Amino acid sequence: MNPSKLRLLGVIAAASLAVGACSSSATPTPTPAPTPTPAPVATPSAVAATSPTPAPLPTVPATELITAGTLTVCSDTTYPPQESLDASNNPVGSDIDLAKEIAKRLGLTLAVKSTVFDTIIPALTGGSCDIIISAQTITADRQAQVDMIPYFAAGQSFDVLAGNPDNINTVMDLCGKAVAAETGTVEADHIAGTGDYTAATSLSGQCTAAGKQAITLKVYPADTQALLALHAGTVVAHFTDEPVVGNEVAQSGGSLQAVPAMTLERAPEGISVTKNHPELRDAVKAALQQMIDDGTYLKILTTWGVQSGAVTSTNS
Amino acid sequence: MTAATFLRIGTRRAQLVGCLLLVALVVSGCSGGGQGAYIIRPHYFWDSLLSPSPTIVNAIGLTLGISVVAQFIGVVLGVFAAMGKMARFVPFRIVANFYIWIFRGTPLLVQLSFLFFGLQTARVFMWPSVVFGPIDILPEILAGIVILGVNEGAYMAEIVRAGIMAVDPGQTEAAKSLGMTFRLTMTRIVLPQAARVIIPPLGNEFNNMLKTTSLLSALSIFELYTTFSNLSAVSFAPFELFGACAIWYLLLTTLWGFVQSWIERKFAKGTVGSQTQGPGWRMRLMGRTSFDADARSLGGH
Repeated sequence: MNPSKLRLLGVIAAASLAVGACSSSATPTPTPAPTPTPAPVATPSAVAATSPTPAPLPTVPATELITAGTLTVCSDTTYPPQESLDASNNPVGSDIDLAKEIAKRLGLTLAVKSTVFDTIIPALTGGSCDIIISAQTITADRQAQVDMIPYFAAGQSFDVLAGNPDNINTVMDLCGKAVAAETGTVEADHIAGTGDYTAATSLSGQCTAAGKQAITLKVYPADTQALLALHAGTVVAHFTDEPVVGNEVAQSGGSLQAVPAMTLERAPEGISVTKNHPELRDAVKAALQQMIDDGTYLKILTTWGVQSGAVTSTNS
Repeated sequence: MTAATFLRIGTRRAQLVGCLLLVALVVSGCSGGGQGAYIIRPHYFWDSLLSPSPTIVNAIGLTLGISVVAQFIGVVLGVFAAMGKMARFVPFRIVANFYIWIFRGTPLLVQLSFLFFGLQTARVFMWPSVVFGPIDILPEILAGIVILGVNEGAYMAEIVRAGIMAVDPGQTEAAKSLGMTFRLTMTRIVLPQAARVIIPPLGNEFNNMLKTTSLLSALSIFELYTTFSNLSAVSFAPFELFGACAIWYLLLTTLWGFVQSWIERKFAKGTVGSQTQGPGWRMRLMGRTSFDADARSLGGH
């Protein structure tokens, strides 16, 4: 064999060793899981002002985290008041505060990754983050991909321009008009009949079944862009989660109004964890349950004005 | 190891085999073994390529339609801007330079955001929808086409100007001496000859246009990229679907490459040195191996 070919084989051999390292380190080796100490329900002391000592939470094994000691959270930070970026591009919101508290209780530091919503689940399953806290409604479609821990509940809601110039008071008023939503949300599914909805259960389907024109769905990568479409007059309504509508209307200085009579389908939202990280899931669930039981959870939600979406249990 | 060093190892064939092996190893070693739990579902990839749904077919049609119309607008505006730049009447020059400066100086995405969302939100200008017979063009599609076209015009201006300058000034002089008006000179003499120089960069610009239409996702126009992006959001399969999306764009641009070569050959007919190839396979089959009237090449004795 001529020397140049021999050298080339050497290069290939070296490369395959490097690549071998790529696959072997990635296969999750099943570690014998330490039995999680059952967290006793913290009983608030009826008499004294002493705060109840938090029960020890299960530790998350380092193999179930991307970076040991850090809880990496994917979140679509275009969704105030639940998650958004402040003027210095720091993530803020009720979901972010919940994430901070969960990480604190599990003894981890928090890292938030702003992720576009329509690829947030593949980002989780692809290994970019440990959990998703991003106002994701629990749907059968999503649960086929990941495990979801209920942590909040919200309805699907509309807002329109102040004065309701297009007279949107019922779902049927939307027939033949355009509505904006964010790509990958249940609202987008609900109009178009994708995801958990079928053509029959979709809003557009309800229009066509009644003999009217279908609803045109306009989707945008960020929810803030969908709101922009409403301001620009491209659509007659913005379809998103109830707390977001409430926040938008409050922040709009009078240029928007909600349509409360059209709030649909109050459903639980979940924290997503990949199916192959059961200990991480159990730890997060336990931490969240603890926060619910000792009142911290409700306090965080009240700070952001979204206490109406509080849940009482992390069990679905 | 530098590229130069690498290229000296082994023969060309061995290098090619080595590269392919490397790619195969990387793909086989890393697929499905990552930290997460993403399951690759090849049917999403193959279905969207081999049996595309009507949504995808419509999206391809929309992408092509927008590209062609926007490029046409760009060429027309480019011709006017180029002539304006070369005009002796100063106000024409000022207008042309200003237009080119603004639209080459700002990113397309910013132009789309400002001229569509900005103007509409402030109610300065509302983009209308137009009806061309059975085709109803939505306001944002009209906005997308117009803004892409106007943006393209600023770049085409330079290309057209280069083409016009490449035409021998003797041609213009001869036309003037024959008493042709400026308009006649331009349309009959200069621009047709300039076209040969303009075609290759124009082809390049159209190739870019096909791909730049993906930015129209900001306006929620369901062209190729937005359609695949939405599909991947609903199916949680970005790896397969964005891969297929890339291949669709590659198909479109490659097909355009063939069309461009054909156009270039057509425009090159009758020019010096355009006969770079010898006789075709039919003539060669009959023994004529060159165009020279040499007895030997004519299969003679």
